[in-house]
Amino acid sequence: MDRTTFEQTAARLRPLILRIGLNFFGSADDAEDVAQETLVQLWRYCERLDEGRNVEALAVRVAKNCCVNLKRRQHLRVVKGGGHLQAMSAQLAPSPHEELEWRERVSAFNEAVGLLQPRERQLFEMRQLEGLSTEQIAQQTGMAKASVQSMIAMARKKLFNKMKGRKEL
Amino acid sequence: MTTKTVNKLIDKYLEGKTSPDEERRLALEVNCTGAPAEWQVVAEMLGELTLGEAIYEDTMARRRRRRVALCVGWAAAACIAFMVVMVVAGHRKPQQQEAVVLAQKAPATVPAVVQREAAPVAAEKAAVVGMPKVQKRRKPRVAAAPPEPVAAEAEPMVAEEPMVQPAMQPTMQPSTAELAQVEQNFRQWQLGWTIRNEAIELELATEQLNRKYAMYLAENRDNIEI
Repeated sequence: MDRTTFEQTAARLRPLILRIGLNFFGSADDAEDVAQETLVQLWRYCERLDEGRNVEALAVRVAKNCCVNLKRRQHLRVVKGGGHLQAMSAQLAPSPHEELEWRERVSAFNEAVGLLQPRERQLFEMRQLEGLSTEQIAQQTGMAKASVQSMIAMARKKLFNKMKGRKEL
Repeated sequence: MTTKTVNKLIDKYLEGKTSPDEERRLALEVNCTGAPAEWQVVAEMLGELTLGEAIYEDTMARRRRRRVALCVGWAAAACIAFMVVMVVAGHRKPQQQEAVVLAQKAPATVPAVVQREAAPVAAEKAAVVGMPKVQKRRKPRVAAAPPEPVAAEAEPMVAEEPMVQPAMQPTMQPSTAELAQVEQNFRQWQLGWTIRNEAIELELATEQLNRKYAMYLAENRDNIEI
């Protein structure tokens, strides 16, 4: 997806994202923060977004995720603001070691996904990122439901074995 | 969710048979501290997005439940309040009816205490309207009446009159002269009534006589010479 297309899509998605944020926080300012963060994340992922992808479904999931993250950060700010619960804030915030580990896990996972067959990867991402059901994927791709299910199962098993093997090492 | 259920759900997930809702539930279950290695791998596979969405949905569902519980609580409180009001109203109604019955049974005379309290108010009212003032109990009108020759007739009547409500008696009681006038008027009226009755009787008798005379004339038309 190029920049112009993304700008058009972002303008279309913005009210939807704002509504999600407003439902969760009940505050226009927080909803605005959610919208901004969601669109930034979508912009980072923009290059990987194909024309046929359901951007709306992905935006909804990212917006919900951003709501939860923002809530966590607000909670952390409250705890830190109290000044007397440093230990607790340290527990809530990931340590540098944990953050590094998490980054490694994410890159390993992305690497494993990259090793999947193109069709498998497409179906897996449709399910994983956009949160579509098997029926919806079958409708969008024009494939049989059973084929979609078996290809997703295959992709998941491959990834599971790869990630499990890495963990055992 | 038990460990067995989570493991079953993991198997279902790997076979690609889980629904998005089941995957969200699984994400909530497997993202916990001290989880087995398999669970951690599944958590990584499900990803941050699924977990974030699961937390979002869970939070919203909890809020909805709380709101519903609050509404139900308020509704229950309102129902209880309404029932209490109904019960209290139900108790009061018979008491009010009883009070009405007692009031109906009670004598119509006003208690002396109430009369005493009402006397000043009545006096004020009378002053406003321009009526004679109400006299209090300790100022009987009889003592103030001038000694007149006609009063000798009226005095016994006033004295005999029982003082049932002296506080409420007006100061302008009829004087003896007035009473004599009233009596005279009454006698005149009585006389007039008697005269009127007698006149009516006389008229009737005259009419009867006329009728008899007419009948007599009709019977003896031939024998009478004019």
